[in-house]
Amino acid sequence: MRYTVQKHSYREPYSTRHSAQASKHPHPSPMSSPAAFCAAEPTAGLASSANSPGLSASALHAQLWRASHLGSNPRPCVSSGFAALDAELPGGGWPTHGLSEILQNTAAHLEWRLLSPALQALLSEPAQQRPLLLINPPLMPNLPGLQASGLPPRLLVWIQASSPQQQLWATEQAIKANAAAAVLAWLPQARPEQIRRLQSHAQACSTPVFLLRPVGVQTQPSAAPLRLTLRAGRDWCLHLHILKRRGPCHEGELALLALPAGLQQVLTPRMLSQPWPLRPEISTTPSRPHHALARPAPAAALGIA
Amino acid sequence: MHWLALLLPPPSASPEPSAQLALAWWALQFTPRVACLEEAVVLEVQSSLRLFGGAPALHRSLQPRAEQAGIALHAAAWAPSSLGALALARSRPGLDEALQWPAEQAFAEQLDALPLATLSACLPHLPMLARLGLRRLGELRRLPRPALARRFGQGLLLALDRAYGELAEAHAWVEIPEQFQARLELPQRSDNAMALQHHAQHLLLQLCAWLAARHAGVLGLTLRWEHDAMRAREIASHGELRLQTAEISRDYRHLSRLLNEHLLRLQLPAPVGEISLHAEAILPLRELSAKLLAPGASEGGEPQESITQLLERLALRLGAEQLRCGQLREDHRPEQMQQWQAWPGPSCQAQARLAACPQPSWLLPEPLRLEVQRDQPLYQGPLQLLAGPQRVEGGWWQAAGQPAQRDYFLALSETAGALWIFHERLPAGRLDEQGWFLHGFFA
Repeated sequence: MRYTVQKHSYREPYSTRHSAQASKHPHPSPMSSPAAFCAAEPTAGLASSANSPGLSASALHAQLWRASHLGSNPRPCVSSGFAALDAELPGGGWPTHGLSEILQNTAAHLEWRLLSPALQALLSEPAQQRPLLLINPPLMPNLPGLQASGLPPRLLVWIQASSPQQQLWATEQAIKANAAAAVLAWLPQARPEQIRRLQSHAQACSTPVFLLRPVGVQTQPSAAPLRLTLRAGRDWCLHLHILKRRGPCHEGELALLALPAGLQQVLTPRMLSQPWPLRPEISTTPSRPHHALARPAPAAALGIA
Repeated sequence: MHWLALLLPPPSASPEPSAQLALAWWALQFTPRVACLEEAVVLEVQSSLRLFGGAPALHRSLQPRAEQAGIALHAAAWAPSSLGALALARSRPGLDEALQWPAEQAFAEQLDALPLATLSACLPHLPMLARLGLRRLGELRRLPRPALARRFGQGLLLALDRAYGELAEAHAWVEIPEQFQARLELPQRSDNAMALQHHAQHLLLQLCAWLAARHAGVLGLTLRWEHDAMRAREIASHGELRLQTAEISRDYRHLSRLLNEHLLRLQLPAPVGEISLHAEAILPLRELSAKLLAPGASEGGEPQESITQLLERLALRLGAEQLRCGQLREDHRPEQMQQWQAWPGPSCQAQARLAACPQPSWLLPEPLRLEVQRDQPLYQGPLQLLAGPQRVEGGWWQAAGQPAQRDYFLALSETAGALWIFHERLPAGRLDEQGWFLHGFFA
C-alpha cells in the first residue's frame, strides 16, 4: 500500500498553525492514480501525528481518502438543502472549518437561490440568534425578498468596505471572531495568497464561510478546499460544476431546480416546464410589413423612373 | 483559613508600581479580605469557597479570569497562613502545579522543605544562617527557640510562627475607592498616539480590576491627556478621547482593542506629558452563567469574541455608516419597503406585513435605464416578460421627489436570470423620463 503525501510548498504567514493546515495544493487536485491515497493534512501534520501514539487510527483515517472516492469530512457540515448536491460534497454538505468558493458570472446573481436553504437552517437555530454577515455585497440586499427566502431581516448585517484591503480585513476579522451564523463575502479582487490567509484562519471557524467571486478567477489557484462554478440555465435550474473538492474530479454539471423565492405563485406550469425562450428570437433586422397598404409603393408604380 | 498568594512577574518585566494595586483590586471580586504583602497580594477566601464551587474550582478559574482582565499571573499558591502561601508561591512559579496540594503531605512538611530565602524575615540573616549550615526552613525551625531569639531577634521567630500558622497574623485590608481615578505621568514626552497606547493600557488594567471588584461594567471611557508647557500657543492645554461601547463591558481585551482603534486614528497636536482615564456610566454587570455542557468536538470552536464586539470594532475601522442593519417598512415602492441604517439599529423592530407579490432579493440603488429595441427592453440581450404588470402608484404624500407610477414586470434574461423591471408611466409631456428601467434581481 502506497501513501502519497503532498508537500506543501507555500509560505505560511502564521507559524502557530502548522499542525492544522489543510491541503492547499493548487487547483485542480492532483489525482494521479486511483490507488493512491491523499492526505488532507500536509506533511508536517501527518508525519507528527502518525508518529505520536496518541492519535487513534480512526482520526487518521478521517483525514485520508481513496482518490476515486469522495472524502469524508470529520467536521460537521451544513446540509445544502439539495440532495443531489449533498451527495457530491465531502461530508454531505457545506463545510465548516474551511472556505467555500462560489464562482459565477458577474452579471448573474444566483447566490441566494443556491445558499438560502442552508442559510435558513443556520439562522433558524433558536438557541443562538447569531446574525449573517454580508461583506461587500455587489448590490443592495432587498429585505422583503430575503425574508421570502427565509432569512429574517433582523439577522442580516450589511458590511460595506470600500477598498479591497478593508474588505479582506473585515472578512478576516469576521472569520477569526467565529461569532456569526455564517459569513458571505464578495471578494472580486482577492489574490491567491490572500485567500490562503483567509483559509488558514477559517480552519478555526466553526461556521461556513462563503466567498463569492467572478468566474474569471477559476484559472487562479485557490486554497479553498471547495470551489464550484455556478450558472443559470435556460430552465429554472442552477447548473453547478465542482472545480475542486476532497474527492475525485467532478464530471459534468449538476442541475439543481431552485426557483427564486416567491416566484412559485406567479409562474405558470408552462413557464416552469418550458426552457427559455418561450417564443422565437426577436429578429434584429426589421421585417417587411405584410399588409398591402403598409408596403411602400414600388418606384415604377409612382412613375418616377 | 484558606489563604491564596498571587505573585506578579518580577519587576523587570512589568515596571509599573500600580500593577500590584490593580491585582489587589481585581482580587477583591473573590473576597473582601485582600491585603498587599510585600511584593504579592494575599487573599483569604475561606468564607467564599462555597460561592465559587469549592477550592479546586476557584483555583482553576484564577487563570482564565486573570487573562480576561489582562493580568499576567506569575505564580499562585494556597496555604493555611498568608506567609506560608507566599513562601510556597515564591518557591514554585507557575499556576498549575503550585495549586495542587499533595494530600499525603502535611502543610508543615511542605514548608519544611522550602529554602530559607522564601521567607523574607530570613533574608537579612542569610549569610549567617548559611555559615551555620542551614538551608531549609525545617532545619531553622528545629533549632532551640531561646537561642534563636537571642541570636537573630524576635522578628525571625515571629515570622516563622506566623508562616506555620501557630500565631495569628494581622493585615491591613485593601479597600476599593468609591471613585475611579487613575493618572499616569509618562516617563518621556511623546507626540505619537501609539506611544500612549502602552501607558493607557496600564490605566485600563486598573479600571478593569476596579470594575471587577465592584461587579460592574462601563458603557464609556474617556482618556484625557495634558500637553506639556512646550507647546504652541494656539494649542489647548489638554485633550480627550471618548470611547463608547454598545454593551456594558469590563472585558479588558475588548476595551483595549477599541482603545487601540481610536488611538490609531488620533493625531496629537503637541507632546503629551500626562494621561488619565475616567469611566463613564458605571453600571452593574449581570454575568451570565457558563454553559452546562463543555463544547464538544462536534460543536467546534467557541466564539473568540461576541458578535457585538466584532461589529463594534468593524464599525470603528470602516466607519459607522458602513455597517448597516435593515428594517422592513410597509410601502408599495420597492425602494421604500426597507430601510438600512447604521448598526446598531433600534432595539425593537416594528412588524411589517409582507408584500403580496414576489420581491427581488437584490435591489439596484438607482433604477437602471434599459435600452429599448422595437418596444422591447434589452439587458444583455433581449428580455422575455414572464409576468405582470403589477401597478405601483404611490408617494404622492411625500413632498420630496415625484410620485411613482410604475408597471412592474418579471423579465427573464438568458445571462442574468430573472429580473424585476418596470415601465414608468408618466404624463406624456415628460417623454425623457419614460421608458424601461431595471430595478432588481431575483437571485
